[in-house]
Amino acid sequence: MTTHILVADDSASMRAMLSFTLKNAGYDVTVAVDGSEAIQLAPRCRPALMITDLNMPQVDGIQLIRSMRANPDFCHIPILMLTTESQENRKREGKDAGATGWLVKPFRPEQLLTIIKRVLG
Amino acid sequence: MSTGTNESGFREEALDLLSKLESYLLELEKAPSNRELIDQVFRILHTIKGSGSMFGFDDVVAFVHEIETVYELIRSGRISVTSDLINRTLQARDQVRLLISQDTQSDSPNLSLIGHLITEFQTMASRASTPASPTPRVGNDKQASSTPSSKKQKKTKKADSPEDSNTSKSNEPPPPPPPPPGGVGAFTARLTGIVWGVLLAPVAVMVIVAE
Repeated sequence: MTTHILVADDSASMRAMLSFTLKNAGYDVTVAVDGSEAIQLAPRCRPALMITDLNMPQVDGIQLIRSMRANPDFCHIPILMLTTESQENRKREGKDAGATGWLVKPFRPEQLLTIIKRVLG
Repeated sequence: MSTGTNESGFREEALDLLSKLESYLLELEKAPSNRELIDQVFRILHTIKGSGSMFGFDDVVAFVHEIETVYELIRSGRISVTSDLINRTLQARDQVRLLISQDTQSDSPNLSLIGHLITEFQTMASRASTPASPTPRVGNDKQASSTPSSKKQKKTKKADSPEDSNTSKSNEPPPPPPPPPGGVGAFTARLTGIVWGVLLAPVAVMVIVAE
């Protein structure tokens, strides 16, 4: 069975890049335009891993992580945050909220795939 | 992996975001305490910076980072929104658009102005970060270009018309003073591929929090 990854990012170009990279690597991918949509989509696509941007409208990445961790169905799945170098305090917030790890932009697609393999074991 | 499609996707997205940014800035000028508008402006800057870094737009990232820093300080209440700040952000927005646009018929980015704006935004941020500074102020009132006529002009004329980039006309704001060496020199150096700051080294960092 193919591993399903849920991506939440309000940037269309980032969603396209992430989706292309992950699908090319053989993953099933569902994309959400913000945390709110990701919360709605998660029960349907049952992701094995989630990738989320931090700054998003409606429900941001931190709120999304908290929401997932509060849900028994998703409290143990790996969640990776995408951050920028200037978001040190947000990284801490994300870690406290229950993020598994983070990638700092810019990163190369291969680095993303490497970290995904590591967190999925 | 080819990034051509991704780059064009980023250009399209960023140009759309910059159009929205202009609208939000003009609204924010009328309602300078509107938290939602401040967040919208910040989020657009942050998205352009974050996505731009992914697709190799390092000059855009470096420039937008300085603007974003100021808006982050606005969000935390350490800088107030003023007409002067809005005008400078609109000027910066026009230049970011020129940096991103590939339209050969449009103007080239005004590197001198960009260097000047970088210095201005850095000054705003450092003033707000200096504890000894009395009341945090934004921009430089001596160069304020917030006359009603200039505002009307901003709203009506095309943002990227030739007048925007370089030339000075009687009904336009005064031209910026010669930029300090740091601004123009640094940005020009960046454009020629010389790394001038830690920020600009596109180093990817991956961290896994212990499970």
